[in-house]
Amino acid sequence: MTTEIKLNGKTLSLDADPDMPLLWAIRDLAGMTGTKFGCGKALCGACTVHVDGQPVRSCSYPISAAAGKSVTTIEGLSADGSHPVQVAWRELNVPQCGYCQSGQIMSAVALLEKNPNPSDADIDSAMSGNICRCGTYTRIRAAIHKAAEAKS
Amino acid sequence: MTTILKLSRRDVLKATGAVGGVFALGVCLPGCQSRPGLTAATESFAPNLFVTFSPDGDVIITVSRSEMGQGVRTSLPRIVADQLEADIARVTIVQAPGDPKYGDQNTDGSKSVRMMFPPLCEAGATARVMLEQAAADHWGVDRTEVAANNHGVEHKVSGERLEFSELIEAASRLEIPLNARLKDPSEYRYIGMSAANVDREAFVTGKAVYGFDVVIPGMKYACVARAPVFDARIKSYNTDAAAKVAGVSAFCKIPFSPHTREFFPEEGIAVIADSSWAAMRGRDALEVEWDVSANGDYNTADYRKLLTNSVRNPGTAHVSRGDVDKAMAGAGKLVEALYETPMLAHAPMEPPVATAWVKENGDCEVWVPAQDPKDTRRLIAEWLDIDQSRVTVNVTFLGGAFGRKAQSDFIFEAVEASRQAGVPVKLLWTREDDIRNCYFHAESIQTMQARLGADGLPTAWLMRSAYPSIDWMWQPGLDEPMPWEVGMGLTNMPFDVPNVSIEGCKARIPIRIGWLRSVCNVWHSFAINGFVDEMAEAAGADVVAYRLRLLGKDRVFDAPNEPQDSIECFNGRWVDTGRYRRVLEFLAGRCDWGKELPENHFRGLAVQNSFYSYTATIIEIAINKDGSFSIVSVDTAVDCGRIVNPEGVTAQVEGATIFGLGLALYGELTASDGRVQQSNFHDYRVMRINETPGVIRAHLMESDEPPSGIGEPPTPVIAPALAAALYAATGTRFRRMPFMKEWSALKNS
Repeated sequence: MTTEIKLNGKTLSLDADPDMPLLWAIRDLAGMTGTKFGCGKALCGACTVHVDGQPVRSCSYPISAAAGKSVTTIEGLSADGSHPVQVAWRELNVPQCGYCQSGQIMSAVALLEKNPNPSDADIDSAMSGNICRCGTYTRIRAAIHKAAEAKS
Repeated sequence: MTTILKLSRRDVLKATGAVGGVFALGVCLPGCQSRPGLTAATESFAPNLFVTFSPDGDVIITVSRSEMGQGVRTSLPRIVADQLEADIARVTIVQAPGDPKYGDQNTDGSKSVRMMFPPLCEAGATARVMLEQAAADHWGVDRTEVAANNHGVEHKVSGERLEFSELIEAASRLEIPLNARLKDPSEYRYIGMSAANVDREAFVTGKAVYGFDVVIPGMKYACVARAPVFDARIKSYNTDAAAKVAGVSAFCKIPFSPHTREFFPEEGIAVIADSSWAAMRGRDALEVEWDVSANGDYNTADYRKLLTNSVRNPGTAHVSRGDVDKAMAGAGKLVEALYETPMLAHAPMEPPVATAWVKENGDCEVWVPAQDPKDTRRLIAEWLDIDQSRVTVNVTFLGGAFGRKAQSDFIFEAVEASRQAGVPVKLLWTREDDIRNCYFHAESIQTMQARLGADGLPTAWLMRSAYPSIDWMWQPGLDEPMPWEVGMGLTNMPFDVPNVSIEGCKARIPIRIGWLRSVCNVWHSFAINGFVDEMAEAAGADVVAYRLRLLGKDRVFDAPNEPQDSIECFNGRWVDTGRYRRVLEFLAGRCDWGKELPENHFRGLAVQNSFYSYTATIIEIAINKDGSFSIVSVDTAVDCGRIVNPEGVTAQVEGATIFGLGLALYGELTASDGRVQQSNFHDYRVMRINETPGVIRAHLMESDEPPSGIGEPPTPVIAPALAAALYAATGTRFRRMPFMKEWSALKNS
C-alpha cells in the first residue's frame, strides 16, 4: 500500500504495510538513517521525529498515521548542522557514542519551540523519555539552556 | 574488562613506504616479540599503517580501536599528531578494519590509550625525525640545527622553513630511525590539552554510520528466533504463518554451536525479509518449539541461595597472609557482613546488529559495530572454514557497547544468514533480544569478616566471593572465580592487614555471561568499600581517616598469580597505595570532607583502584520532604596517569557516574525456568535525565605516570558511595543492589 508523506520538505510515496512504524519507513524505505532504533516500544526516544511539528516516537507510530503529514527528521533540521540546538550540542561536546543524540536533539527542539526558556525541571520533564546510556544528561541540560539563550 | 581471549601477539608491522611522495611507516605494538625491522621500503603503498602522508602534506592517522563513545578517535590521533608536530587541522582519521597487523584490537579493559600511548608516540616521533632529517639534508646542515614545528621544519639558525609537503618525498627515501627522540612532555602541544570529540558534527547531524545504518545494495533484513534458554535446542518449527507475512522471503537455520566455541551464537531460525519491520514481524509469527531440558531450571532466587551457601565454606585462597583463623579467634570486635549484587545486561542504545555479505566466490565482508574486529575476523573465517585473508571486517561507529559487542555472536548469525541466503544481510536484534540473550553480568555474593584490634584496625580479614567465572564459557567445568577476576578489586585491595585470606568460592551458572563495564570491580568495590565503612564505624573512626590508617605506609606491589600485563610499564606496579592515598586526600580536600552539610543532606564516599587508575567519589544526597531522596552531587577524583584529553576524561567520568548510578539504583535482571523475565526499558530500568544529579564534577589529578584506564574506573565507586550516603541518611546499611528495591522495602517496613 502506498502512503504519501512529506519527509523533510520532500513529498514521498512509500510502498509499505500500513502498520509499518514510521521509523522503518524512514530508515529502510526512504533511506534516511539518522533516526535511530532503540527499543521499538516508545520507551527510549532514540527514534524521535516531528510529525506536523509535534515530537513522536516513530518506532511506535504507524506510517498510515503519517499519511499526508509533514515529517521532520534530524536530517531535515538544518541543511548544515546549524540549528541552534545542534550548535549548542557541538559546543558543549554533548555526544559520547552519539547514537541517541538524534532523538535527544529532536526532543530538545520540540521543547524549545513550546517553551523558549525552560527550567531544569522543564527540561527533565520534557526529556525524560529519551535515554542516553553513555550518560550525557548533565550536558544535555546545559546544551538546552545554551540553545535557549542563543535563540532568544 | 580483562581480555580473556589469548592476545594474539601480532607479527611485527612491516615498515612500508611508497613511491610518488607518499610515505608511511609502521611501529611496534605492545606484545611484539622483537623490535620492528624499520627499514624504508620503496616498493608499494600499504594503507594499513598508523601514519600516512598524502602528497599535499596532509596526514592520515589510522585508529585501530573501536569508537563506542569513549572518544578514542579523538584521543589516539592527538598522540601521533603531537609527536609528529603535525597541525591537527590537517589530520584525517581512518578507522582500521579488523587485522592482526594492528595487534590487539579488542576495545575493552579501559586500555586503548594505556596500550597505544607508547607505540603511537613512537609512530609520530619517527615520522617527525625523518622529516627533520630530510630538511637538514636539503639545507646541508646537521639535524640538530633543525626542528619540526606545526607541520613544517625550521632551521633554527637561518629561520628558513620547509613545509611537510615539501619534505615527504625526500623523507620517504630515508632509513627509518630506530630510536627517534620522543618529545619531552614540556613540548607537548596536544597531549594534555582538551579537545572536543572529532565526530561531534556527524553525531549531531545524524550522519555518523553505526552498525544499524549500513546499507549495501541488494541487501535483505533478518531477525532471529533464538534459544530462549541457554543452550536450548530446536525441537520443531513451523514457518507457515511467518511465510505469509508480507515481505518475508526465506528462513535459515542458525546451527547449534557448543558455547565453548568463542562467542558462536545460540541455535535459532533467521527470518529473511525486505525490511526490518517485515523481518521482525516474520520472526514473531514463527512457531518454534524448544527443548529447554539443558538449563530450563535456572532461577535467580535459587541461585542466590546457592551463592550464599557457597560463601559459607572456604574457597580457593588467592591471597593468604599470616594466620587468619588464629587472629580471627582472638579478642576484639568482630565485624561481619554479606553483600549481594544481581544479574545485569549492558543495554547499549544500539542493540546488536550486523551486516554481512558472503559473496559468490566465498569471500566474506562485514560492516559491524564490533569491539574486537580482529578476533571477529578470525572467528568468521573459522565459521565459514575459509582463510582469514578472505574475510574483511569493516568497523562502524558503535552505538554504545559496554562490553556487549566484545562478543560477536550477532555477527556470526549475520554471516550465516548471508551465506544461506546468498545476498547481503543486515541482521538486527530487537531490545527484547538484547535483554534476553545477553552475555550477562553475573550475580555475586561476597562475605566479609574482620576482627578488630585495640586500635580499631583489623588484625584479621576474611573475604569470600562467589560468582561464576567468565572463563567457564570456553572452559567447561570451571566453577570458581579465576585470579584475574578476584584481581579486579579483591586481591589488589591496597590495605595493609597482617592476616588476610581472600577466597574465591564455588559457583557455576547455566547462562551466558560476559564483561560489563568494570566487570568484577563493580561487586568487589561495593563489598570492600561497604565493609571498610562498617569497620570504621565499629572502630568509631571517620571513614577517610580510617582508610588512611588502613593503608599503612605507601607501598607498590604486583599482582599475585596473574599473568604480566601486556603493557610493560605496568608490570610490578599493579597497586601503588600512595596513589590510592593521594586520590582520597585530594578529593576529601576538594570537597571539604567532614564539613557541616545543609539539613537533610548526607554524604558517602568510596575509593577504588582498577585498570591501573585510582578513583575516589563523594556522593551527596538530600532527603526530600515527601520522604524520597535525590542525588544532589557526585564528585569524582581521578588519577589515571598522564591525561591525553582532559575533556574526554571528564566526559568518561560523567558517563561512568550515570552508568554506576543506574546499576546501583535500578539494575536487576531475574530469571525463572531458565528465561530472563525482563525485556525492555520498562522493566529493566536505566538512568533517565530526571533522575540525574544536578552536578557531576570530575576532579582530574595531574600525573607523569603512564596513562591508565578511564572508561571503566569511575563506575565501581558509585554504588558504594551511594550506599554510604543512604546509610548516613537512614541508619540502614544498603548491602544489596539495586538500592531502590531496598529503599522501598525500608520505607514500607
